Amino acid sequence: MNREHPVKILRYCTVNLWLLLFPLIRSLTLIPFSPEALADWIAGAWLDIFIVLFIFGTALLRWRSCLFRTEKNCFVISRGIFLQKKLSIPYEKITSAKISEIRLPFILRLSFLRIDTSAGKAGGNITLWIRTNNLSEILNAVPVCSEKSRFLFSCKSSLWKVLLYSFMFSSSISGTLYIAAFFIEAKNAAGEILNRLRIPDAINEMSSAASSVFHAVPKIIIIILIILLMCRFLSFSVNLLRSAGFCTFIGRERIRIMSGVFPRHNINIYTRRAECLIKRHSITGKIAGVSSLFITYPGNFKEKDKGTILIPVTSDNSLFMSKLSKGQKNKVSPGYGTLWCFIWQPVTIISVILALLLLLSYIKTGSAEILFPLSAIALVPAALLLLIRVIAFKTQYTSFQDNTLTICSCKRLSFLTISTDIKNIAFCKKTETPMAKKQEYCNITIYIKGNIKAVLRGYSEKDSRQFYI
Amino acid sequence: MEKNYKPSRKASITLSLLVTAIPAAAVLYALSTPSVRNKAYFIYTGILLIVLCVFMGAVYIPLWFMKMSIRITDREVIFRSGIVITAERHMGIHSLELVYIIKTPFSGCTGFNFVSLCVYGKRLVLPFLDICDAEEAADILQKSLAKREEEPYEP
Repeated sequence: MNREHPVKILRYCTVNLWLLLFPLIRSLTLIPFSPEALADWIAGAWLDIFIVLFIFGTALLRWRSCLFRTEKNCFVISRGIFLQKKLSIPYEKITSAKISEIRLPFILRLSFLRIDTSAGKAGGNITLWIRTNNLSEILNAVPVCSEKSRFLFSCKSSLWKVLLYSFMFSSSISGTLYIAAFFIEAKNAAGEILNRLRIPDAINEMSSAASSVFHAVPKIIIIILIILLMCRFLSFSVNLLRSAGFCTFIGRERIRIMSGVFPRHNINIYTRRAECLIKRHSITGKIAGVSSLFITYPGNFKEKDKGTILIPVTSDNSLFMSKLSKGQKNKVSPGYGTLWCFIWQPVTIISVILALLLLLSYIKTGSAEILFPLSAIALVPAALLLLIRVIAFKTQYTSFQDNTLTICSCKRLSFLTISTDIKNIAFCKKTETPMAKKQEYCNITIYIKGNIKAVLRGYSEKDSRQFYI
Repeated sequence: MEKNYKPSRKASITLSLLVTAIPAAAVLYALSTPSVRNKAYFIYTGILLIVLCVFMGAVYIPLWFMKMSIRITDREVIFRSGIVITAERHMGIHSLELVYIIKTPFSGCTGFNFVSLCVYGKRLVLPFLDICDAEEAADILQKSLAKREEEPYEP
């Protein structure tokens, strides 16, 4: 039987870290400070020592009681201090295995191994911190990780694609801040903290310099742009670390994905366990012709039993989709008269913003100076959504071939192409408005196993029937 | 085999009463206190709330129940709902994993029984069925599940 890496003791210590509250509360007796108070505090120091020893002791016990080994047909883990729990996972039931290595020469030699099974959360969170020496034993024993695997197809991303991907998909922080900026501008809530950090002064200096170059651009827009650029740079660096050295191998039996610098991830999935292939690209990705690919499989990797793996940056012409999914037959697209179905939401948002702007300018003259930048910030995503919906109107389709369903649609600000077996459709929801009923079309929401949702707009009654199994 | 179910009338009445009576009583109680009664805008807001509650209880909820329907066939479960915007949910029996009934206290009188149909990662709830209807629906679906295990899947 093998033990986990000793570093795991520190991880186990965090479980009982809340006990340090007691020494912290006890130290309040030192306020106001006096020699008597100090003497009292020292007299009770045994409790603090006991708590610290308890934290380390339980962590050590937990580490010692966690053992694992590889057998001929299964992977065995036993855990627990008083109640020993022995978990035996047959290799054939493993849906995926992810190995992350921290590559620091002569230091740590630590790797993380996470095993996912179809049982999802019921099977427990199986994440082990292992010594790199034990890794080769596991790689040889667990078939899905086997080094001897033969792959039909492999793909390596070139440096420029990884750079492009890291930049394009680094919008989550900046996107959130974009919304936050709206409220910051409206309320100026974080002013005091920013003042203490002298950030406003620095931004002011930068924006003043930028304003002198970009005449007639409101200062607030320049400030927001500077913050956005900073955030984008931050997420760009994180994404670059995460996806550098990306390469994929696809075989009849298994898929292997390797990516990242620190730590280096090695993800192995059984091909037949892959439930859904999702190709996702933003509008810039559509123009540049690159997209990211997600593979979902049963497991406990993420919330709601949905295991997801991201394969970053694949060229649209790459063999990925063709290798893993079937072709397109029985193609169905939305009718020509259904444009309104796609654009009513962004058009309504834009109309409401413009109407509010007009109304407020009319009620309070001179408020346009403050309201204009706010409205401009709110209008940009609405306009982007409108553009995406118009493109989706032209590109949306569904196709069936050999029990494989392919859905091409849009979700929020990105485009999705989902390919899955028809058996994986959980259920379909048809939504009709009175106007749509008259014109005989409807919106179809397809729920795919693993809580994946695709919305198809503007489908005729007749075409929508193909989804009702 | 095809079975149609309508939501319980008892549930419609109970829900209407709950939605109307409780907020209306709270508003009336608030209006009875002198500090609130003396303010005109409190009275108008209270009246507006009562009108809304009465509308919900007397018009919206009965209509919503009237439009709701559940159909169970050999291959799928269809749940229709909605007054202005209608929604129709189709769930194939082949994807069903688990069926269970949620009974609330006094559900025999209130009709607050729910049949929950679980698929991997998603759930469809058939709401407000009579207790006998809920049990029958669950039983039919359980049998379909057992039957499906014996037969190979054919789309």
